[in-house]
Amino acid sequence: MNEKIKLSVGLGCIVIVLGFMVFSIFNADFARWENKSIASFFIDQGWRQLSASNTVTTIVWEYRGYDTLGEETVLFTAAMGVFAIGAGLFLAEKIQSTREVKA
Amino acid sequence: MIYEAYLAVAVLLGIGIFCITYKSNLVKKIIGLGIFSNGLHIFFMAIGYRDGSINPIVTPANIQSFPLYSVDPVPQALVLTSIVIDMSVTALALIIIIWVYRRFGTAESKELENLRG
Amino acid sequence: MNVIVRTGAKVMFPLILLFGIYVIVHGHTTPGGTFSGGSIMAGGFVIYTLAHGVRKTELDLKEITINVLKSVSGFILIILILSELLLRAALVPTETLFTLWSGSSLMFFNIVGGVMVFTGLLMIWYTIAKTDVE
Repeated sequence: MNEKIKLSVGLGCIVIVLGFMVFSIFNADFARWENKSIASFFIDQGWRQLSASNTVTTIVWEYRGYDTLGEETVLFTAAMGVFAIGAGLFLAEKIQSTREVKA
Repeated sequence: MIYEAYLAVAVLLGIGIFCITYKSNLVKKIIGLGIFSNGLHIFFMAIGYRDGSINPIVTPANIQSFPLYSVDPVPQALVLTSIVIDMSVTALALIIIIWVYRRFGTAESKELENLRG
Repeated sequence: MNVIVRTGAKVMFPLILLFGIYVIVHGHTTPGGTFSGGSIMAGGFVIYTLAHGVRKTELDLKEITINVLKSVSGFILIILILSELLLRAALVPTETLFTLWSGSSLMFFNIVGGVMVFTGLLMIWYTIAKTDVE
C-alpha cells in the first residue's frame, strides 16, 4: 500500500516536470520585455539618490531594508537553535558513559 | 538563446523530487531539498533576463546607456534572501538528524517507520 | 593529516580571510556584499579545522568570543537599520561616485552584516564538528 502511493506520487511529479520542460521550450517568451514598472524605477533612480554603483545592494539595504533585517533574524535564530541542541548532545553523552562505567 | 536555462531548471527539479521521495536515508533527502531549492532559484533569476544586456552595476563607461541595457535587479535581491533562509533550514535539519541517530540508533526512514512506543 | 596538507592550510588561511574582508568592504561597487564575503571567511576556518583537527583549533579560537561577536553585531545592526533616516546624509557625502568612500551608509551596513553572517556560520560549523570528538 505504501509502495503504491509512493510510486504514483513519484510518477505524477515526473509527469509535471516533463510538461513544464515541454511548455517552456516552445513558449519561452520571458526574455523579451520592454518596460516593467518596478524595475525601471530602481534602475533610473537607484544610483542617483544614493550615489552607489551597485543597484542590487541599494535594493537590498535601502528600498527593501526590513526584509534583510528579518533574514538576519532567521540566521541568528538558526545558529542559536543549533547551539542549543548541540550542547544538549554533549552533556547527554557524558552522563550516559559515566552511568555505564558505574554499573 | 535562453532555452538552455529552462532545460537545466527542469532537470534540477526532477532530480530534486526523485531524491526526496525515493531515497531512504535521511541525509540524502536533505541533499535533494538543496538541489530542488537551487533549481527554483535559477528559474526565478532567469525570468528577468533581457536580450543583449549588461549587469546592473554603474561604471564610468556605461552611465549614458544604463537605463536601456540593464538586467532586472529585483529577482536577484529576493533570491539572496532565499538562499540564506534555505541554508538555515539545512543546518537545523542536520543537527536534528544527529540527535535522531544518537537516540534511535538508525538514520533510515524505512526502519524508523516500524518503531512503536 | 599529512605535513603537506597542514602547511598548505596554514599558509592559505590568512589570505582567504583577507579576500573575504575585501569582498565585504567593497560591497557597494562590485558584486558581493554580506553573504558572499561571510561565506568566504567561514570557508577559511573550515579548511583550517579540517587540516588540523578540532582540538588544536579550539585552542586558537574560544567559543565565548564567537557568542559575544554575534550578539554585539546583531545589536548594532538593529540600531543602524532603525536609525538610518537620521544618519543618511551625515555619514558619507554623496558627491563622489564609483569610489570606495561613496554610497551613504552602505559600507557600514555591509561591514556589520558581514560580521553577523561570518559568526553565525562559524557557530554552526563548530557545533556540528564537535559532536564527533572523543
